[in-house]
Amino acid sequence: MRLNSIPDSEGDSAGSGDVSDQLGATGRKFFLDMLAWLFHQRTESFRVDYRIAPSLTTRSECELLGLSAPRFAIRGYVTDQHSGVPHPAFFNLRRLQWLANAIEQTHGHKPVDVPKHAVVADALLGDMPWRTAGFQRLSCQLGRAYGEEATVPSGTPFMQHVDIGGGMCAQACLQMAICLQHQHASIIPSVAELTALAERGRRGRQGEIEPGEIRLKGLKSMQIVDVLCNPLIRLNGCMESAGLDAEDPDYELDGTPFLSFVLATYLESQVPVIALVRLARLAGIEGTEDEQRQSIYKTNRLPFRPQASDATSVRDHAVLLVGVRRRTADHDFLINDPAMFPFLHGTGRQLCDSRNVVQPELQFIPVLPSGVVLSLLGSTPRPDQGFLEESHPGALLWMVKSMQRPRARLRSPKTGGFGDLPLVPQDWCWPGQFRLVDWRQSEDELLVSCASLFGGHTDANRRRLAIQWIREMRQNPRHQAGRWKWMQSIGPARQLNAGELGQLWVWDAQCRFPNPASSLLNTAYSSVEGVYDRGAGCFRRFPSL
Amino acid sequence: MKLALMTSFSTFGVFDDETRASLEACDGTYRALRSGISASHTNHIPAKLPVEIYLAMERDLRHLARVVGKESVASGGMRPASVLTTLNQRLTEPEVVGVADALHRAIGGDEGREIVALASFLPELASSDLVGPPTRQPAQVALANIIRVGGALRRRHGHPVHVVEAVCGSLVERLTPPAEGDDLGDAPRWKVTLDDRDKVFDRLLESLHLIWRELGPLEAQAGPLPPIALELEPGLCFALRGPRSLTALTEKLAEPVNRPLQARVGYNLDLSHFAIAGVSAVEVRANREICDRILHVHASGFHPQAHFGDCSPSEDNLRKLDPWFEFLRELDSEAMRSRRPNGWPQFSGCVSVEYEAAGELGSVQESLLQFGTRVWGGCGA
Repeated sequence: MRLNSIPDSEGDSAGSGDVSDQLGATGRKFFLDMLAWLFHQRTESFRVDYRIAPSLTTRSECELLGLSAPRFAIRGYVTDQHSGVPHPAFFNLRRLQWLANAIEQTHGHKPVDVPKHAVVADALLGDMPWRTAGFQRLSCQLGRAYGEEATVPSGTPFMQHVDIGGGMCAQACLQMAICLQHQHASIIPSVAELTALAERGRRGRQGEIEPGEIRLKGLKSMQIVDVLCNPLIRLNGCMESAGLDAEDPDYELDGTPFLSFVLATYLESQVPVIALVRLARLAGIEGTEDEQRQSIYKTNRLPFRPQASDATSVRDHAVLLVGVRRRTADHDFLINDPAMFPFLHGTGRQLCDSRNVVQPELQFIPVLPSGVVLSLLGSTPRPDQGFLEESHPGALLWMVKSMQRPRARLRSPKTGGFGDLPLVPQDWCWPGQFRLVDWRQSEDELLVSCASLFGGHTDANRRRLAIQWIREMRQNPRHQAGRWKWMQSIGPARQLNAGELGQLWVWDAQCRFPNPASSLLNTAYSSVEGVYDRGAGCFRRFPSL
Repeated sequence: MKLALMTSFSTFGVFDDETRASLEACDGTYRALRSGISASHTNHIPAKLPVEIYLAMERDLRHLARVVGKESVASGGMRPASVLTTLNQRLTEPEVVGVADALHRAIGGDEGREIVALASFLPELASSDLVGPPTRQPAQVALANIIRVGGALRRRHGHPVHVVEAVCGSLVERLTPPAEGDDLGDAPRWKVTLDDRDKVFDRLLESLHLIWRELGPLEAQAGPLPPIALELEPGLCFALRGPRSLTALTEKLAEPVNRPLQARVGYNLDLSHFAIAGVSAVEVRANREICDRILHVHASGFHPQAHFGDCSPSEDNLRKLDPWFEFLRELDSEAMRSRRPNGWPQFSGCVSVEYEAAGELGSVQESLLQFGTRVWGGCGA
């Protein structure tokens, strides 16, 4: 027996307590247009059922605004009209009309500026073939927490931000990212709590909020990083940047634009990435747009685009990358845009074109487990701090290059040289593939993480190689200490047989860069946990490590 | 111990046919659970599933608005209807009786269903004087009205109504709308001002004093009124939200100035809220001041990292809650009851299963089954 269902309605029916009355007519229309776009169907092709349901976001908005209602959201479920099959998703919708009324009743201000379309408070989305086919998509098992294990046990979180709720795009991205990394986080704060924590988090007293004023606005880039690293949440954010300058010798890696390579590596390692962009560029109302270089909103054929006159369009903006589809020239990314829709598609180049106007490169923040301090590119220095601080994350790709592709073979000041590490043949596909791996996973889970490193092989061979390698590593005490490792697989461009050549490098992802800088090379050397040579159907560990 | 169900599983409220049908379906689950208990234990256990009424559902309020003559709310003119817009004026005695009788009829009181508690949600009890239209005073009136309704339910219909549950308020002192020119170089923004937690507690306690100053003298005629059980809410902006704030409020309650509240105020132990907020059974057991103030219990399934909403308890939930159920059995023992200071309200001995705004009845029944097994574990026939 279903409970708490409420009727849908069209047009202005205020007073009847139905969906339009509570969401507002604009909110309802926006939601239905979003569904039509998301499922690539006309609105007549699907049925939406609604019920009242709890929502992390609407509850927190009441918390932050000191309201007793509306704590609950309206939850929408979508069913295909023809097949009668429900889509694996639900959407918690803000009762925007009621929220505005409640603010007026409680605080005496009529909030005329509450956006009428920011209706999705939180949602969990499963596969939607038109948008997600072919993508490796990040998801989290939060269906049960919402009481929806039967609808969508595991899905990708999505939410839209609303200024009055204390959450702007950055907070919305943070919440989605923390949900995706919830197994490694201490808590999952709501957007309102993220705002309070960023603005009034009490230093030195975990989880305490200082009295004082909070401006309900977005976060600066470094605030995003700080919130992630807050001991209450206990993740690690690392501000990185990369561009698409074709003059740069590092423009391409492995035949892919460097930026796309880095973003894809994170996403394939189950690490969501917050990209800092400009809404006007994302929407194509600022910057150059032509046949070859179209904005992300344009290529996605969105039913709405902000206008150049819209104040929000000139703001800096954040989106969350939640999936990747490898392509030959440039990869496609799956983008959750809290100002618009979930599952937008965009290439690395389009993302770079959407960057903040004052930045030469795209800035982005991989949301990592707290133990992972070795990120792919290393942190962009803070405006007020030097490059090297005690806990500063290192840069894996810098170390990879200095050891595997040095112009002149570098020498470690501590050991006398890297000569004891194997050289990587020039004609190999370099730097190969990386995966961030949680070494505490079960062998079955590790197999899934590591099998993808053996690209080019048949599925059976991938699995066999992964099992061999994991067992080899399990026998070595050197690998048992740390939890997080970057695994790197390098080899000839085409590998078809399990016994063919290759190297596997294991990097300690918890290795910290020291201070001062003089010992960087030592650190680089000591962050290599092991190198394995693959050939003749087995793995041989280089004994010098 | 007793098992009860909170009516908040239905947002349509207790006057709705669907809610009534659901309650009857849950009676079946309850009877099955109860039949597994030995005769020596069933003496104190009601034959029908008792309920705790959540008195803040919009539809209930619109229904009750008619009883108390608030036509503007009843006709849907004030949306959303809240306790503040419905019960914000002191009710006359006939109005109190009218509300109590309506609730009694709605939940099937004549067929033997007990009301064990009333639940409210009035964070405005601690709101600041700087809030636009003043909300603290109407919240005080509303809570006093609910307590009087609880008294009438006891007196007229014999419902136990052990407690009236209430939240402790938010740290939000005020919300300021955007004003041109107050943010150099940026768009004007709404501002929230957060207050000091101790000041919020002071306002809350002041509200409670005012409520009981008004209600105390009524008890001579109307009989004892149910005490207030304050609830901890997990969330950074709530005043009572974790171990530190729980200790701080308990210390305040113990101050001599708050002695008049000792017989009137205690805590509602919401197991999932305590678990999410990181308060353990060991901590509570070790603090007698907190222990002796526990009046009532809510139980629901939960996600340990955030308050997504209620769900059926997972195996992990139940494992984590096991120490709490052990503690509750202790709390319900004669030894613990007799050690409570004289005049302090007693533990209701009742666990209300909560599943706010449930999607389907099966999950509510599943929760009842799981928690019933915990509550009556060891009482097998």
